[in-house]
Amino acid sequence: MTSVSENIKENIKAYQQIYKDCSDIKMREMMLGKKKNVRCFLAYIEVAVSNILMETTALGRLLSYLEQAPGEEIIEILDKNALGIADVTPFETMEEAAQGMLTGDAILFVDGYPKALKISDKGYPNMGVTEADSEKVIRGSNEGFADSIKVNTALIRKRVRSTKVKVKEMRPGVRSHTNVNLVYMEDLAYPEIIAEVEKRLNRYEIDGVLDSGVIEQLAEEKWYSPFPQFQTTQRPDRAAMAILEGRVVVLSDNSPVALILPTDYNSFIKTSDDYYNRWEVATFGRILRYIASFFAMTFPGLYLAVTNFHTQVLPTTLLLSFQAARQGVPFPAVFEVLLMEISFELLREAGVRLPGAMGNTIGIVGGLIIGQAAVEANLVSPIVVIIVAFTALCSFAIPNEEFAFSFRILKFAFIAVCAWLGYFGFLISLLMVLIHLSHLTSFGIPYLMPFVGPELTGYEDQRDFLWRFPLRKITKRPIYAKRDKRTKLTRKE
Amino acid sequence: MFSNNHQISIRQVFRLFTYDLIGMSTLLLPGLLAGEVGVDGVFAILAGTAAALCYVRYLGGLGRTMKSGFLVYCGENLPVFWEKLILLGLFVQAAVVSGYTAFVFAHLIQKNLLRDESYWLILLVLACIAGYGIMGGIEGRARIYEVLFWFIMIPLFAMLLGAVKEVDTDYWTPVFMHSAGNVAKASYLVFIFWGTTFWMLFLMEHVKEADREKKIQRSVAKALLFAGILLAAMYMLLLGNFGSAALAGMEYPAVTFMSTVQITGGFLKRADALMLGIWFFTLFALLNTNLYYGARALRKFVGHKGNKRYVTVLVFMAIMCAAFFYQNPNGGRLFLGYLWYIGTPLMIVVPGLIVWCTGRKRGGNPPGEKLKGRKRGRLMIVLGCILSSMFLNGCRSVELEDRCFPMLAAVEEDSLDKSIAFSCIYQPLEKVSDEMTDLDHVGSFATSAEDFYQAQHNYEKQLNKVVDYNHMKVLVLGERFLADSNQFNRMVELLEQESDFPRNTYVCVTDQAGTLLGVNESLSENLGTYLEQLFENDVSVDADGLPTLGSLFDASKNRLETLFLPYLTVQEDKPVITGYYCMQRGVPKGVVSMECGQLGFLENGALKQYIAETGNGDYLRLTAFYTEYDLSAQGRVKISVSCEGELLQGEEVKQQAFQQKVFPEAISHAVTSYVQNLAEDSLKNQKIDLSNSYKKLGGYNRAWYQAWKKQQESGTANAEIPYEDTIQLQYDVRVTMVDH
Repeated sequence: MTSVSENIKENIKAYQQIYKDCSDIKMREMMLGKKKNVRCFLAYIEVAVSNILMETTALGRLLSYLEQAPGEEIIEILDKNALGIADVTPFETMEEAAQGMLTGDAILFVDGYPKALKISDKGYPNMGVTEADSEKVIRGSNEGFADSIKVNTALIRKRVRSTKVKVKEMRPGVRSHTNVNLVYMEDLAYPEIIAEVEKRLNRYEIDGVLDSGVIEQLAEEKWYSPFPQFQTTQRPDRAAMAILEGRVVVLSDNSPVALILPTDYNSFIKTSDDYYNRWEVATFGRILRYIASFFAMTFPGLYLAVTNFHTQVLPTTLLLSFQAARQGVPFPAVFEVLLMEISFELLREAGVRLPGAMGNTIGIVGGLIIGQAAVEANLVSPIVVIIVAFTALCSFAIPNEEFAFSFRILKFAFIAVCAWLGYFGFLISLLMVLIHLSHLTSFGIPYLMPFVGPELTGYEDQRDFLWRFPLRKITKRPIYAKRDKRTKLTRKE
Repeated sequence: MFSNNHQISIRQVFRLFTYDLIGMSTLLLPGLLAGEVGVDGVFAILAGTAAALCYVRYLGGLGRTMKSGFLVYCGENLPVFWEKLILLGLFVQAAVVSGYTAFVFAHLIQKNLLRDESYWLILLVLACIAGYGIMGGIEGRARIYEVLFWFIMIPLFAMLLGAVKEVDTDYWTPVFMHSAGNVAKASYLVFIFWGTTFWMLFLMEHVKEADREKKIQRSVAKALLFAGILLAAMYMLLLGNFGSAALAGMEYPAVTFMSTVQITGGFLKRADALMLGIWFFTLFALLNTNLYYGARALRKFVGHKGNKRYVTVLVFMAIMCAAFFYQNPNGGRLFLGYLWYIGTPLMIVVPGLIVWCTGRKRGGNPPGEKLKGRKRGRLMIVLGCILSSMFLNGCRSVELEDRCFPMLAAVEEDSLDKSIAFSCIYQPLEKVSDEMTDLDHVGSFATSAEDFYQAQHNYEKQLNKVVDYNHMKVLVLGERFLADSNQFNRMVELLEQESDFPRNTYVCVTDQAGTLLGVNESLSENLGTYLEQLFENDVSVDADGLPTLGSLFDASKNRLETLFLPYLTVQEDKPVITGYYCMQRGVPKGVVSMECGQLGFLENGALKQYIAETGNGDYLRLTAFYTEYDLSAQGRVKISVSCEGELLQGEEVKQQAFQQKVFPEAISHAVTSYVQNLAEDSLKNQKIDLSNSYKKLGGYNRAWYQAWKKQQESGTANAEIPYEDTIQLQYDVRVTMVDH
């Protein structure tokens, strides 16, 4: 570690050495003071810092002031931060200074001053606050997280204006030094969970953390599980709600997706507007989503089990109409189902990858034309098209994309096992999924809460799972919050 | 932080034990009890459950003396020899019970869901899944059943409620016909099935609540009570639907029961395949429980650390035991014998032994380690074996287009050479492609065969598709075939055993089945559907009361019922019900007239409308029947019928004059005479008791029933006198005239 020298020439030389061959790093020498006798050196990343001459920025104001200040007082001014500029950080080593500049701020060296100063500025370019791409709601804010961690943290603070909201900063990523913030309510979240998160984030040394997804994959306990153990969200209101429940939100710089932990099955089924709408609407939607999650995984497999093994289940007229529909189809039913499912997954993938308007068109092309053509060519039977379409609708109804993906993947396992062993295979697969879910935890919370262990919260969590009680009846926070801080709603008399 | 602490809640204890208790008991006990003590089985259930509750209390007493887990307690307080002996005994018990559970489980799946699949494959899959299921420790197991609890119970209750209306209370009588000794034996049999409550001792260390021993005891007792009441209710429903003799002959009566119950407003044709999920999860729970505790006992016995190997040993033992039971035709008896003489006494004696031996100081062993560990490599190997065996066995499913679904089947006996012929009728499919289906025609009778089995087999061999009888609606029997008791009984036995034909298939009779099949072409839909609609839309008789194949199966065992099968003849190219064929206690009695046959449906409440002649060419339509029987005087059967009447023919003036002229008592008298004459003629000429009073005998006049039974068993000349020769029928019809 090289200390910052009082001799600016040495500092300039060292800094230029560190940033050799970096054409995007600007280094400017200036003379400050009334008599222009104090040499200084400013380093910054070109687009990250606004016009240094503009007096509206902190940097501009500082430089402008120092230009007019007596030369002998400059060091004292800097030392005591007499201008009262926030976000001025002194560094004592060249390495810290070099690293500090990479956050998008400017570094100022002054001759005779043994520290480098980091002065905040507009920072790296980013997209700003836009509407969230996923998790669309009918009622509620449309703001989504941005790429900047500072903006995201502010969006949460905007909604939870409490001094108890804490933001702990970490820097995983050996080379990227990505800022990661843990946001939580100090009096609600369990310190053990926060400690566990920190422990997991520090468990690996990785080159770069470019998105919160990297953190998620490194920090989850059961990496092989198809079910996510972190909840993801692009909505600040969702994150704020999570904090108020005693959960921890992990924000990563350059990522518009926040991670929420701990989580459970029920959390993935809830949406933000469950709490903005009335309880009947919310309950209906909730039950619908639960049923959808079940069918998204099991429907094609059940179809195969019933038509290939257990025809006695269906009414006769329906069965005969299935049989008539399959006349002339050259493939076995399982192949038919797989073909349609894979086609559908391809359509979905293509729709995501194609830009803008073309992505919308692919749905029409795929669904109407290809599906219709396949039926008329007798490649597939109409009933399979209906089965696959219904399954797809069910998966779309699941609010969280990652969670929905679990069911999409498991669906293929169900198809295979049901085609092999019929309803027995269905039961076996369902049991295996259940066993896996029963073993799964997210930072100590069983994944199946509050279906299991509801007595831990005095059955209060059951007011908000399959159904949602009227808001005035949900007076307690869920299990994530500290035991003595569970009350969140009381009535004033 | 919260979980993985190997603690479960009292609620989870209750649900765990409920699952353990109801699986095997509801599946096997009804058949066993019906065979032992018939209707008195319900008392055996209550007594056995009461005994088990006392047993739980006794175990709770031991639990209160234990400060640590059961295994640790044994290690600390028993001499080495006794400790090892007990552990070995528990290991054997767990291995045998899990083996038999695995056997029953795999057999149940094979018989009801995957008939053509290899038994060994099903067994292997189940055993591996059970092994995987206990890798998560007690918490994992508890969570599964906690989640599933209401998803299993609600459909089960719905089914049971749906079955209530099908119950025939005559099957519930007579009671107390078996000796106290027999009932006590049956109670012990019930107690054996509740023996799994022993494992509650292992839960003491897994529940961290104040006064946990008492709470665990209460929770297990609650589970036991729940299971006992459920079993009793199910037993009564099964008895009421099938009768004790038929019930005793069934392998899995609860599953057969599910195939007959229809939930009102339900979408599915038959729910038995889906309802099998109830026993899937409950048997899995029992298997899991025994593997889990057996592994723990074995680990303590051996004294080494680690868990996976012991689980593997238990799974292997379970598979071996299951294989043994599968190969051995007396497997069930051996298992029950083991439990009767060894297993259950062991479960009773062990706690007492522990209490007796407690107090001798010895070095304690370290507490048992938690059961966890997931070596994914081994799991992958197991999954790999299962997947590769899939290719060895090949896919057993049959595509829809490779099946044919007969709507009607007909069986006939040739008058000359007595050979049996079999044929089917199908529903013509709408043509989606130009490909013709080759079954859109009337089935022709197969070449002659010696019996029904051969005839069916020969017929199926003619076809290029797999015959799926699951949607068959009607079975038509030729009169000659029906009259040939030997052939008919063999057919009934075979159909009951093979379970190819659904139990709810309507059964009817005709003179020449071939003639009947010939009208198929002239009907707007296939003959099977036509007849089904004919029966269901009959204004006189409720289709729910018509005999089905299931009724024939039960009647052949119970020998109590008099069945009236619709008798069809062809008129103007259409099948018409022109009478009823009577099967009295399994014996064919011949055709009776419409009027006589319809009277036979008074007994089971299926008669909706009856046209009675009052004389002078006037006819009354009678509806809203309510029938009461009085068998108090031996030899006399009094049938009191209340109904509403409406004059059918005549102009309005004549109707009014008729009603004013003739007193209501006279109408009742006229109808009574009409009915009485019909009944007496049937009784005298054909020895047919239209009132079906024999079935009611046990419930209405115990002394008469016992005297009759004694006479039957005496082997004297009197025993050969038919029941119908010993009774007098007396009808009393009360008609309330209504003006519609």
